[in-house]
Amino acid sequence: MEALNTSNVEDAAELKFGEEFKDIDILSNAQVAVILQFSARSAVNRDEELHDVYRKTQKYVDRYNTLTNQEKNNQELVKELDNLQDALTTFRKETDAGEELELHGYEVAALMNLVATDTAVEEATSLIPSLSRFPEAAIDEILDLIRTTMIRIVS
Amino acid sequence: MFYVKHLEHEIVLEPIHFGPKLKSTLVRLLKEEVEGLALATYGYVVQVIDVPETDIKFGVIEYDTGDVVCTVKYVALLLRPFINEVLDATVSQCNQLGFFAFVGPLRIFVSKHSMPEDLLNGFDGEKDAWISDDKEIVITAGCGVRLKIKGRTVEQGNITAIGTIKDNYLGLIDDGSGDVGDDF
Repeated sequence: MEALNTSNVEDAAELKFGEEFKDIDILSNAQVAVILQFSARSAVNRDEELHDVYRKTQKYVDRYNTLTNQEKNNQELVKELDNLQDALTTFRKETDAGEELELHGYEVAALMNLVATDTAVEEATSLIPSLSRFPEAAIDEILDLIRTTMIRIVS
Repeated sequence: MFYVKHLEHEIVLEPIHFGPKLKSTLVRLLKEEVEGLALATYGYVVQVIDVPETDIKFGVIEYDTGDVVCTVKYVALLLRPFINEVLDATVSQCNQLGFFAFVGPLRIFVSKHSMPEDLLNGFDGEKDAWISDDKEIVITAGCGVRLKIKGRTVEQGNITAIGTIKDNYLGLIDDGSGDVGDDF
């Protein structure tokens, strides 16, 4: 059994993920939903049964995905999601000290998962504590990016 | 959280599989062996996304069986709970100690000690639900809750996490009927 307390190594609130997770791509529920939809279709075409873990995951991302729209076609959705991810990953803020701040992959995915159209800065920093290193105005900008994409996708 | 990573796995190929469809057999065997598995460090393997052809290494033929052990590198979509991450989950079961919620295949337990004060005495045995003092919040099977991961164990091929809903902005999201409830 793995140790319960690994908080000395791992802590999402401080963006510490341990050595093995240095070169990973973190995905939001919305992106996973698109991936699983594609492969579910090809599995059905090949008459393969989808395993339990797969089905449970698909049910989960379909339920908790705010960045989706049944009526939009997949290509449009993928483009919006890619654009949003790009915008968030290339978001840069210069601090007074002259340092450049950027969003960590984990923060980008967490933002895409947890933010709703009415999420305020306070809620965002409570859910994703590492965001507090950005000034409030910057966090507002970030939330705005997500809000506009969300509204575009849902309408 | 869901993430994509390059992983390695050893597959034992029996002589019957050697032939023109070797690669597709290898991919099929890999998927059968690895998809759905709960790896201790990396979490649940939800899906094998890709098996790059250049990364398949064949070992020697074993004397006794004629099998060949291949080391295959593949790209997997994984699900793993990270400490202090905030996730939305679906409640599956309530008991007097707390409730169980699921994030896909991942089971999370929230003990009553990790609930806000006005909820921790609110277990209703008849309705199998956790109800707050002001009766506004009802947590029962099928509800969506936002929780924070505080710990994780792996046993017998399953991953269970420990969560809390005590902090701000955590707790009930919806009651499973499609209506949105109040956040904490």
